[in-house]
Amino acid sequence: MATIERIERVDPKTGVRVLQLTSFPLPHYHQYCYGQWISPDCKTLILFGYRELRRDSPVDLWRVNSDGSDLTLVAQGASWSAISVDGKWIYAGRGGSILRVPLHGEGEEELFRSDEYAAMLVGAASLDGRHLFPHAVRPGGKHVLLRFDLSTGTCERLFETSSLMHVQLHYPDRLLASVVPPGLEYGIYTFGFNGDGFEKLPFMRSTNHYASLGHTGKVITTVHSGGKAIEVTKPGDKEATILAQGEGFWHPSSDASGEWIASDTNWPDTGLMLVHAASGRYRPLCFTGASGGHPQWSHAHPRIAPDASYVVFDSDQTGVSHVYLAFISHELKDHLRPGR
Amino acid sequence: MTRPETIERIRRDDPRTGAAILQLTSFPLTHWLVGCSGDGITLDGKTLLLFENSDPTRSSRRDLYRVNSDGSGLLLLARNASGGVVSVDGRFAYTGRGGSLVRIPLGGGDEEELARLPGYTQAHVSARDRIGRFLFGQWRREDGTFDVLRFDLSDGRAYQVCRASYVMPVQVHGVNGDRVLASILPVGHEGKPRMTWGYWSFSFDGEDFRPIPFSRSNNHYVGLGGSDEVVTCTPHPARALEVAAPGDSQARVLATGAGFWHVAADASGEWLVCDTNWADVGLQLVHRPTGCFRTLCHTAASGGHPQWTHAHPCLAPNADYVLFTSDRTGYAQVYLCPIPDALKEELRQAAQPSRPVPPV
Repeated sequence: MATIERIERVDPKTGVRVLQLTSFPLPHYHQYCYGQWISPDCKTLILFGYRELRRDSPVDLWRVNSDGSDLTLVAQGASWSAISVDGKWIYAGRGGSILRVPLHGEGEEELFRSDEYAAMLVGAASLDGRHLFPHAVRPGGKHVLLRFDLSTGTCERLFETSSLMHVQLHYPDRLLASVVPPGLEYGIYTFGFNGDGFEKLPFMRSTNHYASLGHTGKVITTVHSGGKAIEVTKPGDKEATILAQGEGFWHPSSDASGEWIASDTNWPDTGLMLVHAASGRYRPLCFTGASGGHPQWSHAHPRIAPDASYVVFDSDQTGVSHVYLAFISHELKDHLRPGR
Repeated sequence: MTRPETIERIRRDDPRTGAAILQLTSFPLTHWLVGCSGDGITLDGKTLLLFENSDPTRSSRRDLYRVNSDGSGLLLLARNASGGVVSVDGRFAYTGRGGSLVRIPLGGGDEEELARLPGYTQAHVSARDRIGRFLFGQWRREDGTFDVLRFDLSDGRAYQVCRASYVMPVQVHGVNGDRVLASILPVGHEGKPRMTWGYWSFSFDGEDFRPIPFSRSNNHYVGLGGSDEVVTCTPHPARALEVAAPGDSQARVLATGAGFWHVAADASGEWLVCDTNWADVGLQLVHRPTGCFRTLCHTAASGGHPQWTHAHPCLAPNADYVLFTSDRTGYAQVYLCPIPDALKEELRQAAQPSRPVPPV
């Protein structure tokens, strides 16, 4: 049953309109700083909610509209997921299975199941709508990258590794992840849809928080050890260059065009920054109120919408992690573009 | 226990005093300390016990956790537990459940029932002696009265110290650490009062009851390490800390000038810590020899009627830090505030008692 839990808030320092999307006092969080969990029209997104208030609670998948309406339970016990490029379906993991659920509708269908895997994270899908690239985890902890063909229902194992994180689409036809590729050293790589053609990105001080810079072919990361910068590079470059500098940028996210970046900050938290990628100019969009401590539920993990109309973030400012959405005004964008 | 260790720490600096506070728990369930006496902390101060409401209901089960003082190693030790004491050697946690005394390795692992006593509905473990031989606690009887019990860990036997119709968690105190301190109304086996309610010091065998002459205590008190003295808070309008020893004719004012509320002491007896209320002017570090005090930090605990809104500070045995509870996020969580050496030195050097930093 659909419900509405939205709470209108205005950031007291920036005046930006912030919409709290979930408010029932159970932990909620969105699906991290990258991925395809916002619908192509940016009107719907999917997020996680604890079912019970205990540390080992089952986690369920919910959808909600960007205006805060239609908060609906999509699938119980589901894992990371992606929305199809036509905006009709959610593909989600559950245990060793891949599920398909209508984005606006009911019912779920199990597309694939294997007892070889304890968990399945469906974070990336090809833009032609044919392939999913699930990150599967074996019971012993080994990681496997799969390619699932939605047209035939076949699932191929691309490679197995001791380390794999943050698998995401690198526009238009490659993948991006931090990984130990077969026969290679650990790093942040782009690679092909066949699980080959690894190209290591020359990030020397990445926080392991990174994202494709929209459709530009570039990749951005924040830097550790007080670097207080966002760096950018692309496959084949010898070194990364500084895109923006001056704040403790923490988790970066890019819109589809690559013009806009959102990043939270820490040590100290100086606000959620909207960054104009081409110029490196930035301003605080809002203050998340996230505690920024050790637990993941205290991190804002901002994700800018593909059309750069809003930023989704998590905050435990009420004592419980909830999902918030901060709207980006045209005035702020105009202010940040060069020449203003 | 099946759950793995986890870390929930969040660094929160006090904006007024600059104190580097560490929030030790942050999952949105109610958490609190095992007590103000310090017996729930290892002697080296590196590990401590705390409680969690296992679910968000008023009748929730209470589970015992341990966590390191740097915020690492948060670990569930025992479900459905009551009271908690760490062994002197830091190897075990002791707690009560039903009528039983339970022992759990502090590093985690299988629990062991050391004693099961019939006829009791609840067991609350609250104190240890200095050499690690005895544990003390209050076992609630089916008729609603309590037996103060002493457990001899060397032979596993339980001894009744005394019976009471009312008792606060007992503490071990005294210059030799061989007496029990409690706010208590002792009764005989037939249920009739043996003496009036009050603050009493008595032997491990439940004999030689000596009154502590507190006439305006708020029932929050602590024994001073290395001394027979006991310190208590006196509410409005006195706004003071008072000190007295068993047998004294009257208590003496140790410090005045803030609404001292709950008091705790380190093992040496040199340092005290108090939260304050009406008004809350912050958590005060008090130097026992001079009575000087300063604001260490602000707990942001609501300080209302429910116990979960009280800071209930607890001082580490080595006076390295203060633990407290705060519901600042809407959920009671456990926090740790280190005590800077410079603050201690400032208080040692201070000649006159000082007022706390006023609230902004």
